[in-house]
Amino acid sequence: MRSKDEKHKYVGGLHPFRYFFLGRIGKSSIFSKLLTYGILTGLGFVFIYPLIYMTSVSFMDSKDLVDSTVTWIPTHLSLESFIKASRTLELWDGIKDSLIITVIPAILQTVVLACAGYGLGRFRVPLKKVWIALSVLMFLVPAQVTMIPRFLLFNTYKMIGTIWPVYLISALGQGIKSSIFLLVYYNFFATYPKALDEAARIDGAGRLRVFIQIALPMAKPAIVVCFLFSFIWTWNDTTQIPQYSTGAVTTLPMHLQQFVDRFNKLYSSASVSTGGALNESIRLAGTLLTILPLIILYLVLQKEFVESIEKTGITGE
Amino acid sequence: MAIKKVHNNTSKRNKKGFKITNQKRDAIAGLLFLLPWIIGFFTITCYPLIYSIVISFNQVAIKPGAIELEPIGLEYFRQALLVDAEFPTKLLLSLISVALGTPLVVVFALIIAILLNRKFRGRAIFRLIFFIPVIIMSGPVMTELLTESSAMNINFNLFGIIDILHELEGFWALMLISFLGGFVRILWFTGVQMIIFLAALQKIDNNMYEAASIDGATSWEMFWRITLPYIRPIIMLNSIYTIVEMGTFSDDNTNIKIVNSIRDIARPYSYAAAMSWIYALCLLVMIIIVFLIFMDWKEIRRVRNEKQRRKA
Repeated sequence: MRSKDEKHKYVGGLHPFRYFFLGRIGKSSIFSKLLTYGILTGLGFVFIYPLIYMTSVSFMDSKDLVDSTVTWIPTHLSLESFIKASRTLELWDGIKDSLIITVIPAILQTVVLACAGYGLGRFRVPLKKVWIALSVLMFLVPAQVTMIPRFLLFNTYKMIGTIWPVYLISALGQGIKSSIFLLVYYNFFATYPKALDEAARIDGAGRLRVFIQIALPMAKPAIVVCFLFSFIWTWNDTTQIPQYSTGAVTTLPMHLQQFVDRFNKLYSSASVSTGGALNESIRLAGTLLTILPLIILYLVLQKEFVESIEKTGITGE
Repeated sequence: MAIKKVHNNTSKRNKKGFKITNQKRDAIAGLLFLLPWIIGFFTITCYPLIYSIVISFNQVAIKPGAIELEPIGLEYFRQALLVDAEFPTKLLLSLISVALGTPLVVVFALIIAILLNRKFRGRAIFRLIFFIPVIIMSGPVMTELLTESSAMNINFNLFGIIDILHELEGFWALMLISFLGGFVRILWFTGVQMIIFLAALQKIDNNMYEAASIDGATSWEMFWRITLPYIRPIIMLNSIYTIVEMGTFSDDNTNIKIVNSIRDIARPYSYAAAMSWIYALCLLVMIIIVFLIFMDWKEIRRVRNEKQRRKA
């Protein structure tokens, strides 16, 4: 970092060149700061761009879309696209269905996996290593492999077309990427100080009570991470839920999948002449409406989210 | 210690007079906590897994109320690989995109994580932005964004790069165009991996860096000598995660093909099962390769040598 010559030449002040590229000892230089901001802005642009673009185009009406002078800022805020898109998406039904299929399974999965992680992490369970290895192995098996037999299994119990398969899967801790959550919990419970548990046990608390009153409150970061990710991944799932639960629920992303067909059904070809054709603005408004609940959830919980990720130590030792 | 010992020795007799030590009670309690997961594992994960292997070798006939299986051997695997007009190409394209995408995703996730791990003003806002893919990434949304051409493609044309490339034509220019086109999609896969890297980086003891910088190490050297060896297992973890994530993503062409042929009238379920196993095995091979690359061979050799020395 500091060559000897340089050190002798500029003992008091810093050579401007050196200051720019290397900075004062212990502090980052202007160059590295610029680099940091530059790269992060560049890459961040990729993520933020579609959002800005979507928002901007969604507010345009059909005239603005065609007008080549209008690129970013619509001439006036038109809600026309949003209204059409929300009618196409059947927004309220979609949100309701999405919540039905998302909230309770996310809670179930969080609770069941917390129990399982606690059992693995705190007790000398027989075959402990086998269970952990199996759960890792299960993560490696692509979901589409188990999907068909699961479908047949639920079919024999006449559960296809109801919400129960999704509920059952999460109540038994086998939901989307559940292995990750199990490992997060296991890691969390295996590493936190056991003295607390022991103290409570000596004071006469039962194992269940120790779990509920001591272990769970301490595991809050892990619980937040598990719940949020379960929620998000179930909300966004369009492979499994449609297979098991079509008919009972049609989630918002499923509506989005069939957006074009639905739109054409609603606003049949007769209205093309009146400028009612499906355009980019409406499609993007639909996409925006689909992800809006998640963005709101994220903005509300982002502080807990970031903190929890730091505290859980997802990575383990 | 003393308390613990006493605690462990207090054994109770239950009604039948069997001795149940505290250790056994612990094991039973642990199993009870684990029970729902174990039941779930065997009934809706393990059993379907085995069953899907079975039906991929069988002809399925749907009779009212039941399903009949008739052994057919490797026929469906042969059909998928040799007869099907679409599947081999789709599979190959999927595998290539996973193979090329994985290193890119991991490298970019690492770069973003390292930068976000620094202390600078506005870090909170940048974190907010880089978590976006985790939140909104899903098949239909990606499809909408990618088909609505301008939502994702303008990025590079902003600087006129694509236009210049189009003028150049040639093989490499075309490669570069498709790379840039796919690049944006690939970046969207970095979310979770970035979080995992970030969590790992925050765990590295700061004293190590301080010690190294006192010894005169540059930050470049510190990255290669401290950061990278430390997060090596995390890189492996993230590579595997990326392969699984990209391989199971719902807008993947092979997956769409598999899902669409589940209710194939002539060969229901089993043909889709055969295809999904072919795909899964290919992904598994990739995972094994990643595993072999990132295994700590030195450590394994050291342990083995030590064992041999002990024997001798």
